[in-house]
Amino acid sequence: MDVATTSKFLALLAIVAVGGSVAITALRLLPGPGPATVRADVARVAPWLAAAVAVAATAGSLYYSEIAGFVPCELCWYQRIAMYPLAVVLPIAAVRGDRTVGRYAVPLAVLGAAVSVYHVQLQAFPDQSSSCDAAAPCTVREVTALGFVTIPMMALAGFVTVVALFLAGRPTRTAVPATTSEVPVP
Amino acid sequence: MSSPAPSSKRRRSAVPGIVAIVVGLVVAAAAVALLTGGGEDDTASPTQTTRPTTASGDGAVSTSGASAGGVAVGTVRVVGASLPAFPESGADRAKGLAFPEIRGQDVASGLPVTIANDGRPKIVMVVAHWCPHCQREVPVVADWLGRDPRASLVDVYAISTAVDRSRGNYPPASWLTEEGWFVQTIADDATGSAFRATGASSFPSFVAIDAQGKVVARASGELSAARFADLVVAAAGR
Repeated sequence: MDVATTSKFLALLAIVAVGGSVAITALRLLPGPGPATVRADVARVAPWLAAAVAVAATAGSLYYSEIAGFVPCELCWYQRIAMYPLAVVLPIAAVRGDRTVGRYAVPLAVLGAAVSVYHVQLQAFPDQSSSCDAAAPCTVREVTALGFVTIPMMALAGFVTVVALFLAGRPTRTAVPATTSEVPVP
Repeated sequence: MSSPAPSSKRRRSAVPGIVAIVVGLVVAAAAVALLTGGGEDDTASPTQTTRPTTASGDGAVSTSGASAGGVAVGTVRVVGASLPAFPESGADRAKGLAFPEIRGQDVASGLPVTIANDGRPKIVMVVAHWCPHCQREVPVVADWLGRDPRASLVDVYAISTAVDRSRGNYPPASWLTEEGWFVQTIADDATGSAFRATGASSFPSFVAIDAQGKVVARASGELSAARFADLVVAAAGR
């Protein structure tokens, strides 16, 4: 699979991840026991899904630098600093059933997402500096898959999805029973 | 993920369905990517990219003569020591040092170009075709050279480096021609030999060289016409 095909695959995964994040957020907003129970089931698998997202994002990042040969720019490294620990911590937490890992993972993901947002807008509006770094310019889009998906956009999708998955397990304002997965079917 | 105790009144868990949907979407994404391929995606191919500061060695990709797109990546020979790296702050250690001789080919014509100590003050400008700051700087310099009489005080050369077909505004010769760029411009080699000889680390960058072939000033980033004129005056010793 060449770089362009791999990029298309990763871009599609990013779009799926964003779509999933939107769906999870919508579940939090929808009233009634139905969405609450589905959300409870999502929360049960959320640690595993978050771990998968972090591992996939890390694998994609390493693919671009070690196989495709793209040199990571400074902002890419900041996003790696946020994502790589998640690829280790989240799978361990999922295996151990550690529900408190969100307290550590979500701040990392939020920081990473903030850097990704800055990187995306810098690529969109490169006039914010006066020169281009020769080794690894942050302003250059190494990949534009599906016509618009760039590497920092993929990273942003990963960070947002991790946050959304952990928020799925948090109680909403409308009290939901702790054992919603055991709500009887009418 | 323990399952609740079996009970006819308990609802069925959605977990298997969620997992199936996720796996299905991943498989579908892989299938779509494989079946449709990369297509027209604007993805860089590192084999087409020159990476001036990470590459090493004297190997050069030679493109003989000039095609319709000119010479994107040329053959370069540097004689003499490269300038030290341009500092982010503080004094520039390159001041007073001899600028190395650089021989190459013009990006548009393919004809030989030599930047050597010939008793004339010079400005050497380094540009990359994909860099938006270079894209803005080239017309500024071209305009100034065409209208300011002080332009005759110096010889101006340029180096086109870090060529990457996938990054847009390619080939460099077409871009420079469209901008009315009449300055002799060396097409750097695949390892960025000419770029490294200037000690620069970003684009655009400038080196002002006096009539004795010594560096009097360097600059990095977009320059206004007035600041470019200052460099010219500094090189000319006026």
